Amino acid sequence: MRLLSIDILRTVAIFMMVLVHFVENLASGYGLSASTVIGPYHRWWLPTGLAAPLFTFLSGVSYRTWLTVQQQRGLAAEVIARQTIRRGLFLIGLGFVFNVFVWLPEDTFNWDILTFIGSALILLEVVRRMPAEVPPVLMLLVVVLSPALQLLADYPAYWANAYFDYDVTLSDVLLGYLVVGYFPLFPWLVFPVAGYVLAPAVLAAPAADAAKPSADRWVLLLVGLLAAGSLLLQGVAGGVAGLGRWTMFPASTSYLLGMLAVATASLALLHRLVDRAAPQRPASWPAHCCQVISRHSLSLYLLHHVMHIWPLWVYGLATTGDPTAHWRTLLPVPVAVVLAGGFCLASVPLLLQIDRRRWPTVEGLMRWLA
Amino acid sequence: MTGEHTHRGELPTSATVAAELPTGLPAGSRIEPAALPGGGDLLLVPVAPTAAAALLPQLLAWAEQSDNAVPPVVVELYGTLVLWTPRRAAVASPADRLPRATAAVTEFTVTAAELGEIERAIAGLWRNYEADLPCGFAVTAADAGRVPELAERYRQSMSLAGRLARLSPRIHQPPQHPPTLAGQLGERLRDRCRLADREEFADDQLETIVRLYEGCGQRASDRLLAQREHVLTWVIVLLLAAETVLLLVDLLATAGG
Repeated sequence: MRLLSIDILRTVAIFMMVLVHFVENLASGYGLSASTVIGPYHRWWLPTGLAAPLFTFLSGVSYRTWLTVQQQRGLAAEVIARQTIRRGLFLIGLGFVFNVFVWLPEDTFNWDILTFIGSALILLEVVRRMPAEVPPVLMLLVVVLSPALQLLADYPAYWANAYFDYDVTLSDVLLGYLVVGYFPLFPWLVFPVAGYVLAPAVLAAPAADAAKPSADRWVLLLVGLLAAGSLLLQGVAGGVAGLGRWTMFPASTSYLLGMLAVATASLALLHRLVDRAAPQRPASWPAHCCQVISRHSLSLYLLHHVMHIWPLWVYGLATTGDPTAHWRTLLPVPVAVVLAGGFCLASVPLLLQIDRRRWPTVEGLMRWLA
Repeated sequence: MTGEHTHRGELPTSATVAAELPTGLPAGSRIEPAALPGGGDLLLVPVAPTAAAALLPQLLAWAEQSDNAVPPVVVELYGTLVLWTPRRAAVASPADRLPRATAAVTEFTVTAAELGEIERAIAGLWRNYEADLPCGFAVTAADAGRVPELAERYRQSMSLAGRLARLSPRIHQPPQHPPTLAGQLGERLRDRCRLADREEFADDQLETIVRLYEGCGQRASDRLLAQREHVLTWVIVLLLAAETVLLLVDLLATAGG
């Protein structure tokens, strides 16, 4: 079951991610002194912090829809578990390979989004076995515990230069995975679990009985509560890191609630406007493009890094002997923006060509293995 | 023709024929439309004590007009002739006994109609019996949505059992002493329509059905309790996991310096 709303949202997330990564990795420190600390919200117009929550939320939604289809096909729970765990392990392995080859070996354990989504998939295999009442308790625990864990682990000590800087020790590696890495389980686990839990309500058909409150109203109420909670935290504890201050690193509670509201509302709105409005309509070319991009989101994630990080490393190596010498300082911001736009535009025909010629992709490899 | 057939008390669904007074009946004969419980017509014929039997052909023809598929029950007793179908009843009797005979027919009609309704409702419950059988053994997650439906069927079957239990004394009432015309007419009619047997069959069927839905209720309740326990267990596991994570992070942070 492929829903256009999910494809559109994933495409938007990918394009936002490409833009943010190009600007941050190529240009965020361009023209600034070396001592200036570049935070994730250095440029107000960059959609920083939007793509990752959407991606991870959609991974939960997609897992739920995939699971429903497998169960309808009559696949045994054991087979589903095996497939899920294989996919999770594949993503974790791919994440490590990606870290080594893109972020260089010293960043093997930076706990980027691939290792996180892989871990989340394996945990969703456990979550799906829980009674319906339990996953919300799990989310609540993760949200409540995360600020305390960040405090316990001394989060700022690992992020002195606005990136995750760790020693290759067991404690740092494990803490990175749990709390202080780029996408640690606490609190990022909330997004895939929320996607998994909310998918049936958000993607529900309209209620046949007009007298009964439809799922839409509950979703609207939830979005309102999440947004209100986020605003309240920002108002009451706006200065407290990890709690009220809107930050992605660490993902503060206000950020979590706010982004959950955004992700849920976006999906619900798109589902209402696109999937429900014309479920039988033949796909237009923009819709087809979104489907192709969404289907190859993993390839695009890898490709856009290779396209802008590897030249950066090679250039640095060639000019100074240090591959990371020009990280964040290579280009002016407008040039990085143009490059990001160019990549997005070029990716569509490339992916269409890959589909037409049936070239092997990383998604195909994952499907084959899982 | 009279005693061999079982009358189930069904009311015909087809359009009924308008009741017309048969020809050749004695003066004073009359039809009381919808006088029977359930809306059936009642034909009252005052006759001399020995003349009732001679009216049988006309009364039979009149009674059969309403529904040919149900042959009338005929009872002749002490100069009183009664023809009964669920839709029409004719009573030919000396004028002084007519009210008591009519009362007996009316009372019997009420009992037969009630039993017929119960039998039809039981037939309706049998339609779901096979489909509901698995839930009598175990209510799974897939059946959880059907629990209100099963509960409703349990309510229906218990309600029918109650109605049947209340009806039973009227079917099994002992002969009156000293015997009266009304009492004996009622007794004969109940006997000809085999109300006692039918009540017993209905009781047996209801027992089977009630047993199934009682089992379903028990299984649903077991599942609910197990589900609550399951939720509680998971919450405890999560709390323990949370505590473990807190301890682990604290330990790692301390160990890492």
